[in-house]
Amino acid sequence: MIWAGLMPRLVVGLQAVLYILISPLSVGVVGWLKARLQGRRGPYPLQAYRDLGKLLRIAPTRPESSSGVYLFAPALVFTSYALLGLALPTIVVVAGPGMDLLLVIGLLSLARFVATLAAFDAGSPFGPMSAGRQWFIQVLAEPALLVLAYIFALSDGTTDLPHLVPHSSAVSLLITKPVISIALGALLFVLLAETGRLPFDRPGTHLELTMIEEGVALEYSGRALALMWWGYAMKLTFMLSLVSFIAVPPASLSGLTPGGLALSASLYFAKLGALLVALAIWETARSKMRLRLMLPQLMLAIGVLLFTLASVILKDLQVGG
Amino acid sequence: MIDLLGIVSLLLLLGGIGAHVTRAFSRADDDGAMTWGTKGSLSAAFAATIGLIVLAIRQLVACGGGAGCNRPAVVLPLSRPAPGLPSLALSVRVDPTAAIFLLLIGTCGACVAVYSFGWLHGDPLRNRVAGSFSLFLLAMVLVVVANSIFWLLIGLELMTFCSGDLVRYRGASGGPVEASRTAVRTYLIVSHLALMSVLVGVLPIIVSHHTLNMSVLSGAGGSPAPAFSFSFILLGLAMRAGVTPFHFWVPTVHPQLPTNTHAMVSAVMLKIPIYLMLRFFLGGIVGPVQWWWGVVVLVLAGLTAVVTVFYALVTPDLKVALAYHSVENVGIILAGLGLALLFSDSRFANVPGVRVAAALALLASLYHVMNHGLFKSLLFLCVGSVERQTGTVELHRLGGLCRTLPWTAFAFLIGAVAIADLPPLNGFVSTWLTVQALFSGQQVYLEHSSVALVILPAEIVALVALALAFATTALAFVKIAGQALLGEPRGALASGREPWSMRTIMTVLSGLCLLLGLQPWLLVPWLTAALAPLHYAMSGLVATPTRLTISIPAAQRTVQYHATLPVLPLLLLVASAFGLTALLRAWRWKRRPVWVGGSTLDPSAIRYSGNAVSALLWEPMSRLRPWRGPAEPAVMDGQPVPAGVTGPADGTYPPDQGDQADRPAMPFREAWDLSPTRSVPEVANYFYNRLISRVITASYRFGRWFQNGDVRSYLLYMFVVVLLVLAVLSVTR
Repeated sequence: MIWAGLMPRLVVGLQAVLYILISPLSVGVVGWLKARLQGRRGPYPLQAYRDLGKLLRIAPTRPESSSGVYLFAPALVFTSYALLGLALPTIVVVAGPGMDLLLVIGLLSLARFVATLAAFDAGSPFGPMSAGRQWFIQVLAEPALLVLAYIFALSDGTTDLPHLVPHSSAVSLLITKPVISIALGALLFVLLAETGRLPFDRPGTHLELTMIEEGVALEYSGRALALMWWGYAMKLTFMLSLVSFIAVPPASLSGLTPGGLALSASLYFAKLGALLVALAIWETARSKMRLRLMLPQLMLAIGVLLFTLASVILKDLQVGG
Repeated sequence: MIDLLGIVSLLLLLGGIGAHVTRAFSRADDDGAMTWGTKGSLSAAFAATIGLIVLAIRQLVACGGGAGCNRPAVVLPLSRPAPGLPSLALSVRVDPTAAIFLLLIGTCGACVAVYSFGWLHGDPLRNRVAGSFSLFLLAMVLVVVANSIFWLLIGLELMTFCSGDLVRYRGASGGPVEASRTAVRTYLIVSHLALMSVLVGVLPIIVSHHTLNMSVLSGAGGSPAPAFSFSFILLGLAMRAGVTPFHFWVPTVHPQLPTNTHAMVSAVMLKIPIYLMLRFFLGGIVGPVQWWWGVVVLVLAGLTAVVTVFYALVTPDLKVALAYHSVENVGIILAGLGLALLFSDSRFANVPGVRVAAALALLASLYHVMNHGLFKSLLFLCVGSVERQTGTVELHRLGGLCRTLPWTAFAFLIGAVAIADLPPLNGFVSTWLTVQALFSGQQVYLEHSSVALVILPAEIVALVALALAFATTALAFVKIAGQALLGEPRGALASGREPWSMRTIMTVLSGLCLLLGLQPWLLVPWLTAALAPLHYAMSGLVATPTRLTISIPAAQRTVQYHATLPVLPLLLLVASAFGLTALLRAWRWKRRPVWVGGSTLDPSAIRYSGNAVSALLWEPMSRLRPWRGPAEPAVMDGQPVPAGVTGPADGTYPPDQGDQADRPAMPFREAWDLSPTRSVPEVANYFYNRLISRVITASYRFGRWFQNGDVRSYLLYMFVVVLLVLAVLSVTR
């Protein structure tokens, strides 16, 4: 009896740990793929772990002007992103109340809030410069994310992440409700903005004046930098997993055989891999957008989401007569 | 109940009058009497607010849904002024709805009273502030408990009067006199226009039912013209709450207040109109709720949130910025209220989930009322502390307070996370509930296709506006905290540390914000009790120590709506963030100079300012001009007329203007200058200023034409008046 109550939580916890552990790999893979596509050899995907290990052995330093916020930020950023792992059913869906989509949006926002405050605290001009850009994008991305939450709340009657898409049927939501695929397209675009990928930000740039995502962690070093970087890797992994979860929901935990579990796990890695390949190709093909152009682009994404919302509702109205 | 209320009122009255009397009778150099008058008054206010808290909690706990405590009690039996007119007796009722607002007044009042011991120390105007503060509390208590419309309006008027006395503070203590006068004048004009508008809306109700008693009126069937009454009452209350077309007065008036009572006015007084909306609209006084009321309120709420948060972002003054943020939060509260109105229409009564969704929206709204009361008080008290220690609230003159005033800075950061509606603090819980209420009302338009085309755009406008407001608030507080608290100390440096009374209160308020964010189930039963007098039962929300669960029953064509806010991850977030910081031994990191691109620059010389960080958002607006060039001066008879001049100075027309002739004084700020070359226009104020100068010009013109000095004209006026009187008499007799 106790085992039956404990089992789902254990599975959720294990999935979260797995998510935390594999997230550096996804950044490593996308970097390696991009290098291959550009005709370079590139760092081996597992290099991400070596980098992390090296950073974790180095004691951090702090700028002279920094206060408690600077010291507290890496831990809070890491924890916020790590908690997202509890939200997402990556390999199996555990029935019962899980994490809420609005809470996920809140946690993403909290991490950004604390990281940008720490950027101010460091006292260097580059941190606040990227902080301003990040919030500019966030101001436009937040309505898009909330409208997306509304679309799912309307079509499935919940914002609970495990129940966001009906996972009982074998058919993907994209086939049963084709309009969702439009929303998913807009979501992908917003997620590129949220995670600081091209065309919004060039990851791995060394020019501080153009940085968006990396600029806020510029002053960090050693273990603190490792936590910030790991947090970023988790954010990217989470976003990709979210898209893969909506597109092809995994099987439910109840009544799953070990063989089914292995199949489900390999399905998840296949989905993630496919998205990483797509991201690498996309980033190779695109160049960075001017900051001014982001406003109309993101407004367009919001518009597409609103259109989807309207069509979801109008369809429901029509079905009812 | 009545005994306790009487003691509270007496304490506040004695404290208030006592402080004013010691000021009047003590010599200017008699420091001891002044200090004791202030301290006595503040102690009385503290005791009274503790009494209010006890009273409120007793009412909330003792009668969750019971009818016994809702009964009004007559405390001042006045006879009818004339036969046939309604009785003016003062009756009070402390039902749970009123008790929630008393709890808010009590909590914020107690905090401000204790804080003021430190804040008012050595202030030459301390007696006046302490005395008016007590009387102001008393007026708010009267408004909340009054069960008679007559006394309600008296209470509103007293509230205006007492807070109006506080508005004079800044001008009286060496601030700019003209701004102070404008503020007082604006405040009185807006309050009275609002009062008149409410009165116009209420009159048909009173006339048709022959009573002023609100509990009788709420069951009497409402106004003969509900749309008329609703529009005017909403107009009046929206003016008082600073809802968007009328948001101009809040940032003009509020910053003139002493900062300790500014907390009270922003956190509590702006909620009084919300309370009255609950009473009038949902309490059934205006009549059965129509769904379009909700649409109007919802659109106004979205507009308020997004417009005021933008101006909050560009304001270079901390007090003004927080005043704008208060109005923004009124917008979030109104969104919940608007949804509740929308879902309460009787035509949706056959859909089971809609009533539950309405209760949820109302609960979210009340939760945000409490939350905003707490975190806005916290932020204001922190600003008060900054102001007291550094002598300024201008953002560009502050910096690095985290190191010079650590208690204040820490509390301010907690407040900033709370107001940015981020987990794990209380602001997140109430905005989560509001957004969920918006999501869960899907049955309204799925079951009623006819109204869907109106409701849906309103909901989407509100949702997008709220989302913009959430993100912009977060940016605004990154900007404020980043500029004022973090980094190298610079600009106005803090002298000394905060007094202990102020530290204690800031810590207590931060703790309350954290508590209500991590354990929402503590407050939910009380809020549920507060819905009972409005005939809402909260069946759709289950609050336990581990989660908040919403479930709205399914209708014919919709699925069941359910959502869960788990609390454990939030606890885990706080615990593991602290644990990880400890594990990193962050306090032992070695200090080093900041990296400035390899040059030898002084890092503070190339520091980014808050305005630069938010520039991407305000820059497009700074290119927008609602008008071309500088404001045109008002002109009459070929000569410019300054706005704000209301009559002839010495019988000559137009009055002698001297140097002001070429620069008309506009009462409201028209632009926020963010850099020497860029400023953002305050569009609403532009229109108000033009309106005022037009009205003044027109009245001059009319005055000249009317008072032309010709005896024949005056004889004609008399003749017309006599005719009018005769006509009126012949019609009425």
